[in-house]
Amino acid sequence: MKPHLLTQAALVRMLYDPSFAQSVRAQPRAVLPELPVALADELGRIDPRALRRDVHRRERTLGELCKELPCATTLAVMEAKSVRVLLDFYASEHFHAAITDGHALVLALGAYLEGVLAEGTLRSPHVAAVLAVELGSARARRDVARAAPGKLAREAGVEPLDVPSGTLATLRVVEQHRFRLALLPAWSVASDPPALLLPPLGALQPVCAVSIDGDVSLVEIERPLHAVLVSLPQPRTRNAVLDEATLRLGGDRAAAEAALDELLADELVAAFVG
Amino acid sequence: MDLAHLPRLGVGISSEPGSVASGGIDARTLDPALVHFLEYGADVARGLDEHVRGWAASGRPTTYHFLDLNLEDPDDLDAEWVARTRALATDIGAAWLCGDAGLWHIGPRDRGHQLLLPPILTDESADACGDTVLALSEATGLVVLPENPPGDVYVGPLHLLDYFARVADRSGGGLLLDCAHLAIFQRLRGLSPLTALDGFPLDRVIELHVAGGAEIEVEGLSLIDDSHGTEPLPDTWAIFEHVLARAPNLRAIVFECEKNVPGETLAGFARLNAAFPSA
Repeated sequence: MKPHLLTQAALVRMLYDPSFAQSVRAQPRAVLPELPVALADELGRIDPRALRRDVHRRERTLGELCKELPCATTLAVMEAKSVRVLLDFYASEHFHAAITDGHALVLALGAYLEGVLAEGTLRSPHVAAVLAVELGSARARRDVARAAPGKLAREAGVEPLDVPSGTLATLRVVEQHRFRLALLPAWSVASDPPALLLPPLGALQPVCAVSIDGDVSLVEIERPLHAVLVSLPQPRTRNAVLDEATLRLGGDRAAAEAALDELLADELVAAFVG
Repeated sequence: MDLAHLPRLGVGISSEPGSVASGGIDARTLDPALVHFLEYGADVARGLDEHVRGWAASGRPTTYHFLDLNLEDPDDLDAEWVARTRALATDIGAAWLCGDAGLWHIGPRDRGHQLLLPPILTDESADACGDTVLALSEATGLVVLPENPPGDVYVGPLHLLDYFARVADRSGGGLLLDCAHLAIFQRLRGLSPLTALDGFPLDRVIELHVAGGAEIEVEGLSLIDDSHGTEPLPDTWAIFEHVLARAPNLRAIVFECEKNVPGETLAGFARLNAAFPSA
């Protein structure tokens, strides 16, 4: 990447992460070794008050990102009892890497929350389950077509997921809860908000997110279909797909073949001429 | 870029998707003797609204101001964006394309990625910007005018005007000078409003922007808010008057004021028309 674009990326990181901006002020050349020293030094001399001029920037951006992870972020804040759990995203490696590498911030926020769950700061299985669905849907929206001669590939926007039973019901309950809160925004500062009763979660259940023009449908699917789809993380030959799917299905190759044929007929998997 | 044959549009007003629906000025209600064209600022995600469609359908002139291209990054100019932008501009019969030459989005054009930062003021950035301007013009068949963006922080050794002079040298094209944005830059650098205009290629200026601003304080730091109110700062008027008298190829002036009460914009439009009478 050209130095001026690296400089822009560093400036954006400073705008969103005050602790990073402070580090740049303290040691610009050490914190930004990828920049020409003159530009790193200049970033280090920026008046921090100018970086804070747009006082709503962090919340506004986070609000946009949360629109794709609405239920997961709601449950995360409920468990943490603070939006800090979301704002800390800006200090995370996920945020900085997304800015530097040019990746989608929504996916970075989702990965950050997965990390928060993995380290145990958040423990709710409902957060994890709902995040898996919403993050999978976000990935499906951004999926791009894959083509490889002689191979099979998932159609763009098809994302297989494995989530506990009760996850889709949880999504509906949280969506209804958010709708109710939006009817009376004053609830956000009340000590007696309406109760949110989450349904129980059970065994893992195969689900598929399908994005068409950005609208995502979530459908429960049979295990053999799921086994084939997860065996196609990238384009592969028919035999390679069937070998892995057969293993996932306990050796039932006939089930794998039938599932693959069904997915091809339904145009969820594409076959490219070699 | 063929600048000589660009039409003289006169004085216009800015507009963005949904601005009228959210209470902004409907340009069709303004005196046509004062407001001659509409500059529509949009991104491909939002496209055209009924306001600009109605204006264009009446046969009145437009320009298309993009809000979603990082001009200092030639890789941002992908074929799909070019095709969609060209279609939008063509639909409203835009006389040319223009847009702030800065960072409109972080990484991909995606949810939550939108912002606007000025370019990094280096030779390398200016050259990249000039290359993108030229490539966009060739791809669309339309003249492309890069605009100096607003900012609270400008990074890089060049003066903003020297940066855009280099952009124009590189692209061989014209420029859009935003007088209010330049006033912001000069104030931030502690310079007088007209600093560096003597070395700026004023013959390349095709369009001017004028807008109201507000002096604000952030924790004791004095800044100018690019508020797009109806009262341009004295610095902005000083730049405008100076450039107007020395820009022989000027074709258009936009008063960026669509979010105000129509009656409060009349004095500004009258002053601009007096300074730049329609042919």
